[in-house]
Amino acid sequence: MKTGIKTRSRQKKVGARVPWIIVIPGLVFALIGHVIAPLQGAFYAFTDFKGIGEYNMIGFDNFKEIFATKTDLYALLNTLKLAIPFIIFVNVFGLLLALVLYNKLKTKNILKSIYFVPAIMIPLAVTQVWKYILDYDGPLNIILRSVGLESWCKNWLGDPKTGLFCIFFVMLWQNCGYAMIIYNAGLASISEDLYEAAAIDGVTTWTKFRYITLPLLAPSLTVVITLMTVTGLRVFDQVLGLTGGGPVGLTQTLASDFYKQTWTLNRYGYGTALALILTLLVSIVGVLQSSILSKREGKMS
Amino acid sequence: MINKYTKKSFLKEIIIILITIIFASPFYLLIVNSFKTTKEAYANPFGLPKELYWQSFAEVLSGAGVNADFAGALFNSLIITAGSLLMLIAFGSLTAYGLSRHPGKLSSFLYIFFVIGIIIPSQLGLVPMYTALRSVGLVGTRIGMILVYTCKQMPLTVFLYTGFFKSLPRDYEEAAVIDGAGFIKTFTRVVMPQMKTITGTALLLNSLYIWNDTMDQMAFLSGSKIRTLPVEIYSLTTAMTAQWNLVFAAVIVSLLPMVILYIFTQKKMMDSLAGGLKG
Repeated sequence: MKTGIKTRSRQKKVGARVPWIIVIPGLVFALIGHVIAPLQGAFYAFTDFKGIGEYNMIGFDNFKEIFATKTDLYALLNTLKLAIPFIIFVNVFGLLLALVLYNKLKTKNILKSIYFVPAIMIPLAVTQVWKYILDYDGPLNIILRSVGLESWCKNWLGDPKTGLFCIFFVMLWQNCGYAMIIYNAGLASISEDLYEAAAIDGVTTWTKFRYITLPLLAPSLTVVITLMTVTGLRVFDQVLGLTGGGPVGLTQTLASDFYKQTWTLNRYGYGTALALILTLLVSIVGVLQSSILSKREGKMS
Repeated sequence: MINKYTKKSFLKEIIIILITIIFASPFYLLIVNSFKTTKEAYANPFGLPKELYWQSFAEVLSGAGVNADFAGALFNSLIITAGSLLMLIAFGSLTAYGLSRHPGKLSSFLYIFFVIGIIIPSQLGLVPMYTALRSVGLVGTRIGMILVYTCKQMPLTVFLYTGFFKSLPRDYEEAAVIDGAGFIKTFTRVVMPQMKTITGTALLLNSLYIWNDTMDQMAFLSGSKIRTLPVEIYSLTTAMTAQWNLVFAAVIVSLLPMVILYIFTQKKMMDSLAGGLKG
Protein backbone atom coordinates (compact mmCIF):
# COMPACT_ATOMS: atom_id res chain seq x y z
CA MET A 1 0.00 0.00 0.00
CA LYS A 2 2.74 2.35 1.04
CA THR A 3 4.74 1.73 -2.13
CA GLY A 4 1.61 2.36 -4.13
CA ILE A 5 1.25 5.84 -2.72
CA LYS A 6 4.94 6.45 -3.20
CA THR A 7 4.92 5.58 -6.91
CA ARG A 8 1.88 7.69 -7.40
CA SER A 9 3.43 10.80 -6.01
CA ARG A 10 6.59 10.07 -7.99
CA GLN A 11 4.52 9.74 -11.12
CA LYS A 12 2.99 13.06 -10.42
CA LYS A 13 6.40 14.63 -10.05
CA VAL A 14 7.58 13.43 -13.45
CA GLY A 15 4.21 14.28 -14.93
CA ALA A 16 4.60 17.84 -13.78
CA ARG A 17 7.91 18.09 -15.61
CA VAL A 18 6.33 16.99 -18.89
CA PRO A 19 4.54 20.05 -20.24
CA TRP A 20 1.04 19.54 -21.63
CA ILE A 21 1.86 21.79 -24.53
CA ILE A 22 3.84 19.04 -26.32
CA VAL A 23 0.57 17.24 -26.99
CA ILE A 24 -0.74 20.07 -29.13
CA PRO A 25 1.01 19.85 -32.55
CA GLY A 26 0.20 16.15 -33.05
CA LEU A 27 -3.29 16.69 -31.79
CA VAL A 28 -3.87 19.61 -34.16
CA PHE A 29 -2.72 17.58 -37.19
CA ALA A 30 -4.97 14.69 -36.20
CA LEU A 31 -7.92 17.02 -35.57
CA ILE A 32 -7.53 18.64 -38.98
CA GLY A 33 -7.27 15.32 -40.80
CA HIS A 34 -9.81 13.31 -38.87
CA VAL A 35 -12.38 15.76 -37.47
CA ILE A 36 -12.41 19.18 -39.11
CA ALA A 37 -11.84 18.11 -42.73
CA PRO A 38 -14.27 15.15 -42.62
CA LEU A 39 -16.95 17.30 -40.99
CA GLN A 40 -16.55 19.92 -43.67
CA GLY A 41 -16.64 17.11 -46.23
CA ALA A 42 -19.89 15.82 -44.74
CA PHE A 43 -21.26 19.34 -45.15
CA TYR A 44 -20.19 19.50 -48.82
CA ALA A 45 -22.09 16.24 -49.42
CA PHE A 46 -25.30 18.24 -49.11
CA THR A 47 -24.21 20.94 -51.58
CA ASP A 48 -23.59 21.26 -55.30
CA PHE A 49 -20.02 22.45 -54.64
CA LYS A 50 -17.90 22.32 -57.83
CA GLY A 51 -14.55 23.13 -56.29
CA ILE A 52 -14.66 26.83 -57.04
CA GLY A 53 -17.17 29.61 -56.71
CA GLU A 54 -20.51 29.74 -55.01
CA TYR A 55 -22.44 26.67 -54.02
CA ASN A 56 -25.99 25.95 -52.88
CA MET A 57 -27.39 23.72 -50.19
CA ILE A 58 -29.35 21.07 -52.03
CA GLY A 59 -30.45 18.79 -49.20
CA PHE A 60 -30.44 15.10 -50.07
CA ASP A 61 -30.36 15.64 -53.84
CA ASN A 62 -26.87 14.11 -54.21
CA PHE A 63 -27.95 10.97 -52.38
CA LYS A 64 -31.17 10.73 -54.37
CA GLU A 65 -29.16 10.96 -57.56
CA ILE A 66 -26.67 8.34 -56.37
CA PHE A 67 -29.42 5.84 -55.70
CA ALA A 68 -31.09 6.64 -59.02
CA THR A 69 -27.93 6.36 -61.14
CA LYS A 70 -26.99 2.89 -62.32
CA THR A 71 -23.20 3.31 -62.20
CA ASP A 72 -23.23 4.86 -58.71
CA LEU A 73 -25.53 2.17 -57.42
CA TYR A 74 -23.21 -0.40 -58.97
CA ALA A 75 -20.30 1.27 -57.19
CA LEU A 76 -22.00 0.66 -53.86
CA LEU A 77 -22.98 -2.93 -54.74
CA ASN A 78 -19.56 -3.72 -56.22
CA THR A 79 -17.86 -2.48 -53.05
CA LEU A 80 -19.87 -4.98 -51.03
CA LYS A 81 -19.50 -7.73 -53.64
CA LEU A 82 -15.75 -7.32 -53.49
CA ALA A 83 -15.24 -6.64 -49.80
CA ILE A 84 -17.31 -9.46 -48.29
CA PRO A 85 -15.70 -12.39 -50.18
CA PHE A 86 -12.35 -10.65 -49.91
CA ILE A 87 -12.51 -10.52 -46.10
CA ILE A 88 -13.51 -14.19 -45.96
CA PHE A 89 -11.01 -15.56 -48.45
CA VAL A 90 -8.04 -13.45 -47.39
CA ASN A 91 -8.52 -14.91 -43.91
CA VAL A 92 -8.88 -18.46 -45.20
CA PHE A 93 -5.82 -18.30 -47.47
CA GLY A 94 -3.76 -16.31 -44.97
CA LEU A 95 -4.48 -18.86 -42.26
CA LEU A 96 -3.87 -21.83 -44.58
CA LEU A 97 -0.52 -20.40 -45.67
CA ALA A 98 0.46 -19.68 -42.07
CA LEU A 99 -0.46 -23.24 -41.01
CA VAL A 100 1.34 -24.89 -43.91
CA LEU A 101 4.46 -22.79 -43.43
CA TYR A 102 4.43 -23.47 -39.71
CA ASN A 103 5.43 -27.05 -40.52
CA LYS A 104 9.05 -27.99 -40.38
CA LEU A 105 10.05 -27.10 -43.91
CA LYS A 106 13.58 -26.38 -45.06
CA THR A 107 12.56 -23.50 -47.33
CA LYS A 108 9.99 -22.02 -44.98
CA ASN A 109 11.65 -18.64 -44.48
CA ILE A 110 12.18 -17.95 -48.14
CA LEU A 111 8.63 -19.09 -48.93
CA LYS A 112 7.24 -16.73 -46.30
CA SER A 113 9.25 -13.88 -47.79
CA ILE A 114 7.88 -14.59 -51.26
CA TYR A 115 4.26 -14.60 -50.12
CA PHE A 116 4.76 -11.31 -48.33
CA VAL A 117 6.47 -9.46 -51.19
CA PRO A 118 3.28 -8.32 -53.00
CA ALA A 119 2.05 -6.66 -49.80
CA ILE A 120 4.89 -4.13 -49.78
CA MET A 121 4.53 -3.13 -53.42
CA ILE A 122 2.82 -0.07 -54.92
CA PRO A 123 -0.55 -1.67 -55.77
CA LEU A 124 -1.07 0.39 -58.89
CA ALA A 125 2.32 -0.67 -60.25
CA VAL A 126 2.17 -4.37 -59.51
CA THR A 127 -1.39 -4.51 -60.85
CA GLN A 128 0.04 -3.76 -64.32
CA VAL A 129 1.46 -7.28 -64.47
CA TRP A 130 -2.02 -8.69 -63.94
CA LYS A 131 -3.43 -6.36 -66.53
CA TYR A 132 -0.94 -7.89 -68.94
CA ILE A 133 -1.69 -11.48 -67.90
CA LEU A 134 -5.44 -10.93 -68.29
CA ASP A 135 -5.15 -8.98 -71.55
CA TYR A 136 -6.93 -10.49 -74.56
CA ASP A 137 -3.56 -11.21 -76.20
CA GLY A 138 -1.98 -11.96 -72.83
CA PRO A 139 -0.50 -15.07 -71.23
CA LEU A 140 -3.73 -16.44 -69.72
CA ASN A 141 -5.50 -16.65 -73.06
CA ILE A 142 -2.34 -17.97 -74.72
CA ILE A 143 -2.23 -20.80 -72.17
CA LEU A 144 -5.93 -21.53 -72.66
CA ARG A 145 -5.47 -21.70 -76.41
CA SER A 146 -2.47 -23.95 -76.17
CA VAL A 147 -4.35 -26.50 -74.08
CA GLY A 148 -7.30 -26.51 -76.44
CA LEU A 149 -9.65 -24.38 -74.38
CA GLU A 150 -9.97 -21.73 -77.05
CA SER A 151 -13.67 -21.31 -76.29
CA TRP A 152 -12.81 -20.15 -72.76
CA CYS A 153 -10.72 -17.25 -74.04
CA LYS A 154 -12.23 -13.89 -73.47
CA ASN A 155 -11.51 -10.29 -72.74
CA TRP A 156 -11.31 -10.87 -68.99
CA LEU A 157 -11.12 -7.21 -67.98
CA GLY A 158 -13.58 -6.01 -70.60
CA ASP A 159 -16.57 -7.90 -69.22
CA PRO A 160 -17.98 -6.41 -65.99
CA LYS A 161 -18.56 -9.83 -64.39
CA THR A 162 -15.12 -11.28 -64.99
CA GLY A 163 -13.58 -7.84 -64.53
CA LEU A 164 -14.91 -7.63 -61.01
CA PHE A 165 -13.71 -11.15 -60.27
CA CYS A 166 -10.24 -10.24 -61.55
CA ILE A 167 -10.14 -7.23 -59.21
CA PHE A 168 -11.11 -9.53 -56.34
CA PHE A 169 -8.45 -12.07 -57.31
CA VAL A 170 -5.66 -9.48 -57.50
CA MET A 171 -6.69 -8.01 -54.13
CA LEU A 172 -6.45 -11.50 -52.68
CA TRP A 173 -3.08 -12.15 -54.30
CA GLN A 174 -1.66 -8.94 -52.92
CA ASN A 175 -2.98 -9.21 -49.38
CA CYS A 176 -2.97 -12.88 -48.39
CA GLY A 177 0.74 -12.67 -47.48
CA TYR A 178 -0.07 -9.87 -45.06
CA ALA A 179 -2.75 -11.97 -43.38
CA MET A 180 -0.30 -14.89 -43.29
CA ILE A 181 2.32 -12.84 -41.42
CA ILE A 182 -0.13 -11.85 -38.70
CA TYR A 183 -1.42 -15.41 -38.32
CA ASN A 184 2.13 -16.63 -38.31
CA ALA A 185 2.95 -14.40 -35.33
CA GLY A 186 -0.20 -15.66 -33.62
CA LEU A 187 0.82 -19.29 -34.17
CA ALA A 188 4.31 -18.63 -32.85
CA SER A 189 2.86 -17.38 -29.58
CA ILE A 190 1.00 -20.66 -28.91
CA SER A 191 2.90 -22.81 -26.46
CA GLU A 192 4.27 -26.12 -27.79
CA ASP A 193 3.30 -27.75 -24.47
CA LEU A 194 -0.34 -27.66 -25.44
CA TYR A 195 0.33 -29.65 -28.59
CA GLU A 196 2.56 -32.07 -26.72
CA ALA A 197 -0.17 -32.67 -24.17
CA ALA A 198 -2.64 -33.18 -27.00
CA ALA A 199 -0.26 -35.60 -28.71
CA ILE A 200 -0.07 -37.67 -25.52
CA ASP A 201 -3.85 -37.76 -25.40
CA GLY A 202 -3.74 -38.97 -29.00
CA VAL A 203 -6.17 -36.46 -30.49
CA THR A 204 -6.52 -35.91 -34.23
CA THR A 205 -5.06 -33.04 -36.18
CA TRP A 206 -8.51 -31.55 -36.67
CA THR A 207 -9.28 -31.65 -32.94
CA LYS A 208 -5.95 -30.00 -32.22
CA PHE A 209 -6.76 -27.29 -34.72
CA ARG A 210 -10.32 -26.80 -33.55
CA TYR A 211 -9.70 -26.77 -29.79
CA ILE A 212 -6.17 -25.40 -29.43
CA THR A 213 -5.06 -23.48 -32.50
CA LEU A 214 -8.25 -21.71 -33.48
CA PRO A 215 -9.27 -20.37 -30.04
CA LEU A 216 -5.75 -19.11 -29.35
CA LEU A 217 -5.63 -17.38 -32.72
CA ALA A 218 -8.67 -15.24 -31.85
CA PRO A 219 -6.60 -12.04 -31.34
CA SER A 220 -4.91 -12.48 -34.73
CA LEU A 221 -8.28 -13.09 -36.32
CA THR A 222 -9.51 -9.79 -34.92
CA VAL A 223 -6.50 -7.91 -36.30
CA VAL A 224 -6.72 -9.49 -39.75
CA ILE A 225 -10.49 -8.97 -40.04
CA THR A 226 -10.29 -5.33 -38.95
CA LEU A 227 -7.38 -4.55 -41.24
CA MET A 228 -8.80 -6.35 -44.26
CA THR A 229 -12.28 -4.86 -43.83
CA VAL A 230 -10.83 -1.40 -44.21
CA THR A 231 -8.65 -2.54 -47.14
CA GLY A 232 -11.58 -4.29 -48.82
CA LEU A 233 -14.12 -1.50 -48.50
CA ARG A 234 -11.63 1.16 -49.62
CA VAL A 235 -10.49 -0.70 -52.72
CA PHE A 236 -9.30 1.77 -55.33
CA ASP A 237 -5.85 0.97 -56.74
CA GLN A 238 -6.76 -2.41 -58.22
CA VAL A 239 -9.85 -0.94 -59.89
CA LEU A 240 -7.88 1.94 -61.35
CA GLY A 241 -5.09 -0.35 -62.51
CA LEU A 242 -7.15 -3.18 -63.97
CA THR A 243 -10.43 -1.92 -65.40
CA GLY A 244 -10.39 1.81 -64.68
CA GLY A 245 -13.96 1.26 -63.49
CA GLY A 246 -15.08 0.22 -66.95
CA PRO A 247 -16.69 -0.98 -69.09
CA VAL A 248 -19.20 1.89 -68.87
CA GLY A 249 -18.58 2.32 -65.16
CA LEU A 250 -19.85 -1.14 -64.23
CA THR A 251 -16.80 -2.13 -62.17
CA GLN A 252 -16.55 1.09 -60.16
CA THR A 253 -16.32 0.90 -56.39
CA LEU A 254 -17.29 3.64 -53.95
CA ALA A 255 -13.68 4.82 -53.66
CA SER A 256 -13.01 4.81 -57.41
CA ASP A 257 -16.35 6.45 -58.14
CA PHE A 258 -15.55 9.08 -55.51
CA TYR A 259 -12.25 9.73 -57.25
CA LYS A 260 -13.82 9.97 -60.69
CA GLN A 261 -16.71 12.23 -59.67
CA THR A 262 -14.50 14.53 -57.63
CA TRP A 263 -11.27 14.83 -59.55
CA THR A 264 -12.21 13.90 -63.08
CA LEU A 265 -15.66 15.46 -63.29
CA ASN A 266 -15.13 18.21 -60.67
CA ARG A 267 -18.35 17.30 -58.91
CA TYR A 268 -16.93 17.87 -55.43
CA GLY A 269 -20.28 17.86 -53.64
CA TYR A 270 -21.46 14.71 -55.37
CA GLY A 271 -18.10 13.01 -54.82
CA THR A 272 -18.08 13.73 -51.10
CA ALA A 273 -21.61 12.35 -50.88
CA LEU A 274 -20.16 9.06 -52.15
CA ALA A 275 -17.30 9.40 -49.66
CA LEU A 276 -19.83 9.94 -46.88
CA ILE A 277 -21.60 6.70 -47.82
CA LEU A 278 -18.24 4.91 -47.76
CA THR A 279 -17.39 6.39 -44.37
CA LEU A 280 -20.74 5.37 -42.91
CA LEU A 281 -20.32 1.87 -44.34
CA VAL A 282 -16.86 1.43 -42.79
CA SER A 283 -18.00 2.89 -39.47
CA ILE A 284 -21.05 0.65 -39.21
CA VAL A 285 -19.14 -2.48 -40.19
CA GLY A 286 -16.30 -1.49 -37.86
CA VAL A 287 -18.54 -1.00 -34.84
CA LEU A 288 -20.45 -4.24 -35.51
CA GLN A 289 -17.27 -6.21 -35.98
CA SER A 290 -15.50 -4.90 -32.94
CA SER A 291 -18.47 -5.65 -30.69
CA ILE A 292 -18.90 -9.16 -32.11
CA LEU A 293 -15.20 -9.95 -32.19
CA SER A 294 -14.42 -8.67 -28.71
CA LYS A 295 -17.28 -10.75 -27.29
CA ARG A 296 -16.09 -13.80 -29.18
CA GLU A 297 -12.50 -13.26 -28.21
CA GLY A 298 -13.52 -13.00 -24.58
CA LYS A 299 -15.47 -16.24 -24.81
CA MET A 300 -12.79 -18.19 -26.63
CA SER A 301 -9.91 -17.28 -24.38
CA MET B 1 2.79 -29.56 -34.63
CA ILE B 2 6.09 -30.82 -33.35
CA ASN B 3 7.48 -33.27 -35.81
CA LYS B 4 10.67 -34.37 -37.46
CA TYR B 5 11.56 -33.85 -41.07
CA THR B 6 10.29 -37.02 -42.75
CA LYS B 7 9.56 -38.23 -46.26
CA LYS B 8 6.09 -36.85 -45.83
CA SER B 9 7.44 -33.42 -44.99
CA PHE B 10 9.62 -33.61 -48.08
CA LEU B 11 6.56 -34.31 -50.22
CA LYS B 12 4.69 -31.47 -48.55
CA GLU B 13 7.61 -29.19 -49.20
CA ILE B 14 7.65 -30.04 -52.91
CA ILE B 15 3.92 -29.32 -53.20
CA ILE B 16 4.11 -25.98 -51.42
CA ILE B 17 7.12 -24.96 -53.50
CA LEU B 18 5.14 -25.69 -56.67
CA ILE B 19 2.24 -23.58 -55.40
CA THR B 20 4.65 -20.78 -54.52
CA ILE B 21 6.11 -20.84 -58.02
CA ILE B 22 2.64 -20.30 -59.47
CA PHE B 23 2.02 -17.54 -56.93
CA ALA B 24 5.25 -15.78 -57.89
CA SER B 25 4.98 -16.35 -61.65
CA PRO B 26 3.77 -12.77 -62.31
CA PHE B 27 7.16 -11.56 -61.12
CA TYR B 28 8.87 -13.83 -63.62
CA LEU B 29 6.74 -12.40 -66.44
CA LEU B 30 7.42 -8.88 -65.19
CA ILE B 31 11.18 -9.30 -65.22
CA VAL B 32 11.69 -11.29 -68.43
CA ASN B 33 9.38 -9.11 -70.51
CA SER B 34 10.93 -5.87 -69.35
CA PHE B 35 14.14 -6.99 -71.11
CA LYS B 36 12.46 -7.74 -74.46
CA THR B 37 11.46 -5.53 -77.33
CA THR B 38 7.73 -4.81 -77.65
CA LYS B 39 7.52 -7.25 -80.56
CA GLU B 40 9.33 -10.04 -78.76
CA ALA B 41 7.20 -9.56 -75.62
CA TYR B 42 4.15 -10.31 -77.75
CA ALA B 43 5.65 -13.12 -79.80
CA ASN B 44 7.23 -14.93 -76.89
CA PRO B 45 5.83 -13.87 -73.50
CA PHE B 46 7.02 -16.89 -71.49
CA GLY B 47 10.60 -17.47 -72.62
CA LEU B 48 13.76 -15.74 -71.53
CA PRO B 49 14.75 -12.76 -73.69
CA LYS B 50 16.95 -13.68 -76.69
CA GLU B 51 19.31 -10.96 -75.63
CA LEU B 52 19.04 -8.44 -72.82
CA TYR B 53 17.38 -5.33 -74.19
CA TRP B 54 18.13 -2.52 -71.75
CA GLN B 55 16.59 0.19 -73.87
CA SER B 56 13.25 0.26 -72.00
CA PHE B 57 15.00 0.98 -68.71
CA ALA B 58 17.11 3.69 -70.32
CA GLU B 59 14.00 5.28 -71.80
CA VAL B 60 12.08 5.15 -68.54
CA LEU B 61 14.93 6.58 -66.48
CA SER B 62 15.91 9.31 -68.93
CA GLY B 63 12.30 10.10 -69.78
CA ALA B 64 13.15 10.23 -73.50
CA GLY B 65 10.25 9.15 -75.66
CA VAL B 66 7.98 8.10 -72.79
CA ASN B 67 7.11 11.62 -71.68
CA ALA B 68 7.76 10.72 -68.06
CA ASP B 69 10.45 11.42 -65.55
CA PHE B 70 10.98 8.46 -63.27
CA ALA B 71 14.20 9.74 -61.77
CA GLY B 72 12.31 12.87 -60.71
CA ALA B 73 9.35 10.81 -59.50
CA LEU B 74 11.67 8.67 -57.41
CA PHE B 75 13.14 11.81 -55.86
CA ASN B 76 9.69 13.30 -55.13
CA SER B 77 8.40 10.08 -53.59
CA LEU B 78 11.50 9.93 -51.43
CA ILE B 79 11.23 13.55 -50.22
CA ILE B 80 7.51 13.30 -49.52
CA THR B 81 7.87 10.02 -47.64
CA ALA B 82 10.90 11.17 -45.64
CA GLY B 83 9.38 14.57 -44.82
CA SER B 84 6.12 13.02 -43.65
CA LEU B 85 7.99 10.45 -41.54
CA LEU B 86 10.01 13.19 -39.88
CA MET B 87 6.88 15.16 -38.96
CA LEU B 88 5.00 12.05 -37.84
CA ILE B 89 7.77 10.70 -35.64
CA ALA B 90 8.62 14.10 -34.10
CA PHE B 91 5.08 15.25 -33.29
CA GLY B 92 3.51 11.81 -32.86
CA SER B 93 6.01 10.73 -30.24
CA LEU B 94 5.66 14.03 -28.36
CA THR B 95 1.88 13.82 -28.29
CA ALA B 96 1.98 10.21 -27.16
CA TYR B 97 4.57 11.02 -24.49
CA GLY B 98 2.49 13.89 -23.17
CA LEU B 99 -0.64 11.72 -23.03
CA SER B 100 1.12 8.85 -21.29
CA ARG B 101 2.68 11.11 -18.65
CA HIS B 102 -0.59 12.85 -17.77
CA PRO B 103 -2.90 9.95 -16.99
CA GLY B 104 -6.47 11.08 -16.51
CA LYS B 105 -9.84 11.40 -18.15
CA LEU B 106 -8.74 13.88 -20.79
CA SER B 107 -5.85 11.67 -21.88
CA SER B 108 -8.05 8.57 -22.09
CA PHE B 109 -10.57 10.49 -24.16
CA LEU B 110 -7.89 11.76 -26.55
CA TYR B 111 -6.44 8.25 -26.81
CA ILE B 112 -9.81 6.85 -27.87
CA PHE B 113 -10.07 9.65 -30.44
CA PHE B 114 -6.75 8.58 -31.95
CA VAL B 115 -7.83 4.93 -32.10
CA ILE B 116 -11.06 5.82 -33.91
CA GLY B 117 -9.10 8.04 -36.28
CA ILE B 118 -7.10 5.04 -37.50
CA ILE B 119 -10.12 3.10 -38.72
CA ILE B 120 -12.34 5.76 -40.27
CA PRO B 121 -11.49 6.24 -43.94
CA SER B 122 -10.18 9.69 -44.76
CA GLN B 123 -11.66 10.15 -48.25
CA LEU B 124 -14.37 12.28 -46.70
CA GLY B 125 -11.83 14.91 -45.65
CA LEU B 126 -9.95 14.93 -48.93
CA VAL B 127 -11.93 17.68 -50.67
CA PRO B 128 -11.75 20.15 -47.75
CA MET B 129 -8.02 19.48 -47.39
CA TYR B 130 -7.62 20.04 -51.11
CA THR B 131 -9.47 23.37 -51.12
CA ALA B 132 -7.64 24.51 -47.97
CA LEU B 133 -4.24 23.71 -49.46
CA ARG B 134 -5.24 25.30 -52.76
CA SER B 135 -6.14 28.55 -51.03
CA VAL B 136 -2.60 28.79 -49.66
CA GLY B 137 -1.01 27.62 -52.90
CA LEU B 138 0.21 24.27 -51.61
CA VAL B 139 -1.60 21.92 -54.01
CA GLY B 140 0.92 20.27 -56.30
CA THR B 141 3.81 20.83 -53.89
CA ARG B 142 5.87 18.46 -51.79
CA ILE B 143 5.14 20.44 -48.62
CA GLY B 144 1.39 20.21 -49.22
CA MET B 145 1.62 16.46 -49.68
CA ILE B 146 3.72 16.13 -46.52
CA LEU B 147 1.09 18.08 -44.56
CA VAL B 148 -1.69 15.83 -45.88
CA TYR B 149 0.10 12.66 -44.79
CA THR B 150 1.06 14.16 -41.45
CA CYS B 151 -2.62 14.81 -40.74
CA LYS B 152 -3.76 11.43 -42.06
CA GLN B 153 -1.21 9.19 -40.36
CA MET B 154 -0.95 11.01 -37.03
CA PRO B 155 -3.52 8.85 -35.20
CA LEU B 156 -1.72 5.60 -36.05
CA THR B 157 1.63 7.03 -34.99
CA VAL B 158 0.31 8.36 -31.68
CA PHE B 159 -1.46 5.05 -31.06
CA LEU B 160 1.72 3.03 -31.62
CA TYR B 161 3.84 5.22 -29.34
CA THR B 162 1.32 5.60 -26.53
CA GLY B 163 1.28 1.89 -25.75
CA PHE B 164 5.05 1.81 -25.48
CA PHE B 165 5.38 4.98 -23.40
CA LYS B 166 2.80 3.69 -20.95
CA SER B 167 4.83 0.57 -20.28
CA LEU B 168 8.17 2.40 -20.12
CA PRO B 169 9.48 2.57 -16.56
CA ARG B 170 10.10 6.13 -15.44
CA ASP B 171 13.29 5.54 -13.49
CA TYR B 172 15.62 6.87 -16.17
CA GLU B 173 13.57 9.99 -16.75
CA GLU B 174 13.53 10.70 -13.04
CA ALA B 175 17.24 10.18 -12.76
CA ALA B 176 17.79 12.57 -15.65
CA VAL B 177 15.53 15.16 -14.07
CA ILE B 178 17.30 14.82 -10.75
CA ASP B 179 20.61 15.30 -12.58
CA GLY B 180 19.23 18.61 -13.75
CA ALA B 181 18.39 17.74 -17.35
CA GLY B 182 15.59 19.82 -18.85
CA PHE B 183 12.58 18.37 -20.61
CA ILE B 184 14.02 18.50 -24.13
CA LYS B 185 17.25 16.84 -23.10
CA THR B 186 15.43 14.18 -21.11
CA PHE B 187 13.11 13.41 -24.01
CA THR B 188 15.68 13.29 -26.80
CA ARG B 189 18.59 11.72 -24.90
CA VAL B 190 16.88 9.45 -22.39
CA VAL B 191 13.35 8.61 -23.50
CA MET B 192 13.52 8.30 -27.29
CA PRO B 193 16.61 6.07 -27.38
CA GLN B 194 14.55 3.48 -25.48
CA MET B 195 11.87 3.62 -28.17
CA LYS B 196 13.88 2.16 -31.04
CA THR B 197 11.63 -0.83 -31.62
CA ILE B 198 8.39 1.08 -31.87
CA THR B 199 10.04 3.89 -33.86
CA GLY B 200 11.06 1.20 -36.35
CA THR B 201 7.49 -0.07 -36.56
CA ALA B 202 6.08 3.44 -36.93
CA LEU B 203 8.60 4.26 -39.66
CA LEU B 204 7.75 1.06 -41.50
CA LEU B 205 3.97 1.20 -41.36
CA ASN B 206 3.90 4.86 -42.30
CA SER B 207 6.43 4.60 -45.11
CA LEU B 208 4.61 1.63 -46.63
CA TYR B 209 1.36 3.57 -46.54
CA ILE B 210 2.76 6.83 -47.92
CA TRP B 211 5.09 5.33 -50.53
CA ASN B 212 2.37 3.04 -51.92
CA ASP B 213 -0.62 5.37 -51.64
CA THR B 214 -2.18 6.26 -54.96
CA MET B 215 -5.40 8.17 -54.42
CA ASP B 216 -4.09 11.18 -52.51
CA GLN B 217 -1.07 11.61 -54.73
CA MET B 218 -3.23 11.39 -57.84
CA ALA B 219 -5.67 13.90 -56.39
CA PHE B 220 -3.12 16.43 -55.18
CA LEU B 221 -0.28 16.04 -57.66
CA SER B 222 -1.53 14.89 -61.05
CA GLY B 223 -1.23 17.67 -63.59
CA SER B 224 1.39 19.40 -61.48
CA LYS B 225 5.16 19.41 -61.94
CA ILE B 226 5.71 17.47 -58.75
CA ARG B 227 4.88 13.89 -59.65
CA THR B 228 5.50 10.79 -57.59
CA LEU B 229 5.94 7.15 -58.57
CA PRO B 230 2.24 6.13 -58.47
CA VAL B 231 1.27 9.26 -60.44
CA GLU B 232 3.98 8.66 -63.01
CA ILE B 233 3.12 4.97 -63.35
CA TYR B 234 -0.49 5.85 -63.98
CA SER B 235 0.21 8.42 -66.66
CA LEU B 236 2.76 6.15 -68.33
CA THR B 237 0.41 3.17 -68.44
CA THR B 238 -2.40 5.20 -69.92
CA ALA B 239 -0.09 6.68 -72.55
CA MET B 240 1.89 3.53 -73.41
CA THR B 241 -0.92 0.98 -73.58
CA ALA B 242 0.25 -2.42 -74.76
CA GLN B 243 3.94 -1.46 -74.84
CA TRP B 244 4.48 -3.89 -72.03
CA ASN B 245 8.26 -3.82 -72.08
CA LEU B 246 8.20 -0.09 -71.30
CA VAL B 247 5.39 -0.40 -68.76
CA PHE B 248 7.22 -3.23 -67.01
CA ALA B 249 10.52 -1.37 -66.92
CA ALA B 250 8.69 1.53 -65.26
CA VAL B 251 6.98 -0.86 -62.84
CA ILE B 252 10.31 -2.42 -61.90
CA VAL B 253 11.94 0.99 -61.39
CA SER B 254 9.13 2.07 -59.09
CA LEU B 255 9.02 -1.16 -57.11
CA LEU B 256 12.75 -1.56 -56.68
CA PRO B 257 13.42 0.84 -53.76
CA MET B 258 10.90 -0.88 -51.48
CA VAL B 259 11.99 -4.35 -52.61
CA ILE B 260 15.63 -3.56 -51.86
CA LEU B 261 14.66 -2.28 -48.42
CA TYR B 262 12.63 -5.46 -47.94
CA ILE B 263 15.48 -7.76 -48.94
CA PHE B 264 17.71 -6.27 -46.26
CA THR B 265 15.12 -5.96 -43.50
CA GLN B 266 12.61 -8.68 -44.34
CA LYS B 267 12.56 -10.46 -41.01
CA LYS B 268 12.39 -7.20 -39.11
CA MET B 269 9.76 -5.88 -41.46
CA MET B 270 7.50 -8.90 -41.08
CA ASP B 271 7.98 -9.05 -37.31
CA SER B 272 7.27 -5.40 -36.73
CA LEU B 273 4.25 -5.37 -39.03
CA ALA B 274 2.73 -8.34 -37.24
CA GLY B 275 3.84 -7.16 -33.78
CA GLY B 276 3.03 -3.49 -34.17
CA LEU B 277 -0.50 -4.20 -35.25
CA LYS B 278 -1.19 -6.34 -32.24
CA GLY B 279 -0.68 -3.16 -30.24
